[in-house]
Amino acid sequence: MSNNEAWTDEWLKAQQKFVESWADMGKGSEESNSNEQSKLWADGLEMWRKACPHPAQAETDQVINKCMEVGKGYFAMAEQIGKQVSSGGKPEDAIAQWIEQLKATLAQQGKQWSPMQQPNNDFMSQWMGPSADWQKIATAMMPMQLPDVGPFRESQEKQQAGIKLVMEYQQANHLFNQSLLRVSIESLQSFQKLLTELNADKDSQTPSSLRSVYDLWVEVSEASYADFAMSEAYQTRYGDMINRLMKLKKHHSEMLDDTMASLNLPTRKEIDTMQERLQQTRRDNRALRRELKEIRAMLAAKPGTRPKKGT
Amino acid sequence: MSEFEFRPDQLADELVKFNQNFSKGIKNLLDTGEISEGVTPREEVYREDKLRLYRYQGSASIVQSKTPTLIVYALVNRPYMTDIQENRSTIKGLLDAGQDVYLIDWGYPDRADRFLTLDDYINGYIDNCVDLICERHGIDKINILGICQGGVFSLCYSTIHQDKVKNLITMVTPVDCKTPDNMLSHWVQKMDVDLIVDTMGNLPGDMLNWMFLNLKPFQLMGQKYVSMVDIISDKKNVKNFMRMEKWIFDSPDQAGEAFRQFIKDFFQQNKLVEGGLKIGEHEVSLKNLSIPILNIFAEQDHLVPPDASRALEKLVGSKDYTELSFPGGHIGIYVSGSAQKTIPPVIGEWLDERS
Repeated sequence: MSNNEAWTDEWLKAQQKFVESWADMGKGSEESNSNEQSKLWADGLEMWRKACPHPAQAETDQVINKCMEVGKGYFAMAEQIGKQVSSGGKPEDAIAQWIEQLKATLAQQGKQWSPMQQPNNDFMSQWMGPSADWQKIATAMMPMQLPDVGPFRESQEKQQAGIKLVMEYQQANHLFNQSLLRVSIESLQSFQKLLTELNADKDSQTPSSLRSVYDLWVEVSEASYADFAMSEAYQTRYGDMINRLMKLKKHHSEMLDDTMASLNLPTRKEIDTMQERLQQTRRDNRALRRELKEIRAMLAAKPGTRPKKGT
Repeated sequence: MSEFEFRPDQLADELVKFNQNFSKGIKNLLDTGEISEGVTPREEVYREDKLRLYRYQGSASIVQSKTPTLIVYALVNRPYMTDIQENRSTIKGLLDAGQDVYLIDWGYPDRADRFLTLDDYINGYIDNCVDLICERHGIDKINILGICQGGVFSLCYSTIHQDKVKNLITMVTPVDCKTPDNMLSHWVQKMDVDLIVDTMGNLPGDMLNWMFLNLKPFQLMGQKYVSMVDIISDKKNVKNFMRMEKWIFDSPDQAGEAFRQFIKDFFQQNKLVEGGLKIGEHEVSLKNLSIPILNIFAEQDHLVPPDASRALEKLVGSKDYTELSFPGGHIGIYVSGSAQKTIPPVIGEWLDERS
């Protein structure tokens, strides 16, 4: 069996199990195990993903991974709402209960938040997407460990300064994340309010599919986020987080330069100085070439003047 | 009172279909192959450092304008957005409208480019390209089409070197960076740009990408991938989607000094509006810009709000100023079907009237 056929086979098995599980949910079968169902799709997808070949193009692989991440969240929403509806609940009550569960989860996490933590809920992880991606960028910027023995040992003073900068950055990052978490809870309240209004207004269109519930949630979340993102608080916390990371990185870069200098190797500062002087020299050359061109043009235009060969 | 109307079997059916489309689509994704950067044939006519100047090849049956048009794209993204696929190419549209099209590809700056300034870009690279095109065609002036940040550069260049620019087109160009709805500008006001550049050198493309995506995180990092499942069972749609994805995440690093000045002078101090802008030794005041200008912007642009572009009208000294608003977004203005039918022909017509 070729690789393609093998992974397709795995995926079809996962799909079949999934469909059977959903059929059970639809019948309200007592045999259906809600714990198994809640992870079924995610597990099936993971199994399939490991079995299928990785594409040659990195960008395609990234898109597939993103689809899976977002898909998990979407299915988490579907499963939670579906469970309520399948056991006889009204859709609007099922959605309301789902929202309450999300709010409770987020509120609980808010009490225990750490900078590296993501919401323990696949669906709401979209709210922390900005923070999660920032963590990846910030981590990539962090310098490698400096040797701490012999002539390379950092002075106590520099160490303390570094620790202080780390704490300041973590605090700024924490405040930013806490703000996002708070707004995510508020957005759920707005979403709940909107659904109640739609339900109460006989002329309005209520969501008629999971997809329309999801799309409405995106609309409300985007609006809540945009309101917050245009606030003074966001501007301050966002700026503070980035500035503090830069201070931390600058401190480490300076320590790295000290190490390089002690090893008699070129430092970043020295290379920057050389590059700056080089670029200025290139500018000066450009200016001189232009001047020369103008002078030649002037001479060429002067009657009786003939430029020398080769000029 | 209306009630939500969906049933368990309906939910199950919806998800099964989603799942089926997803699996079919993933197979198509895996079969996508390499994604090209641009589709219209072109010739490299000049290079300087990482810059490449390309001339695009139009149909032999179309008579080209005697005044070529140089496209100046932004530094923050790659220019193949203007030529992303066969039926979504602004460049092809311009060629079909009888224009002779050149484009500057800035390349991918690295640490060797750390000290490139806006003066180097505008009065160095752009000016060299303009001189070369003039020499090739035996003319004194060309047309310039500036896109987004490239539009800002084009405005500065045209103000400083008006003797070399016949007509200027700006597309989705931020002129007033402090309109109340400018989210990007709002975010950078409290960023210590000097500290960032002194620390990082060049600004990583990933960081810029992060900022752009966070303008609409739910749509751009979530909903887009859910909606994608609706279309990816069609291989052609998959390829088109992947072209956009490749472009979105293909952000070059920004040369440090150019980034410093751009953010400080334009986003933080709004010097095109407030005055006091200098590029190298040259003062730039838009009221001195008197050449014909066509200013195109997008009504639903979340990156460059329309008011940020509209502000140009009151700032320039030109008596021949035209505006064109497009009912779409920052990217849609290049890639949507309706944009392809509208924008290049309008640009072609406007230029021909002033040739």
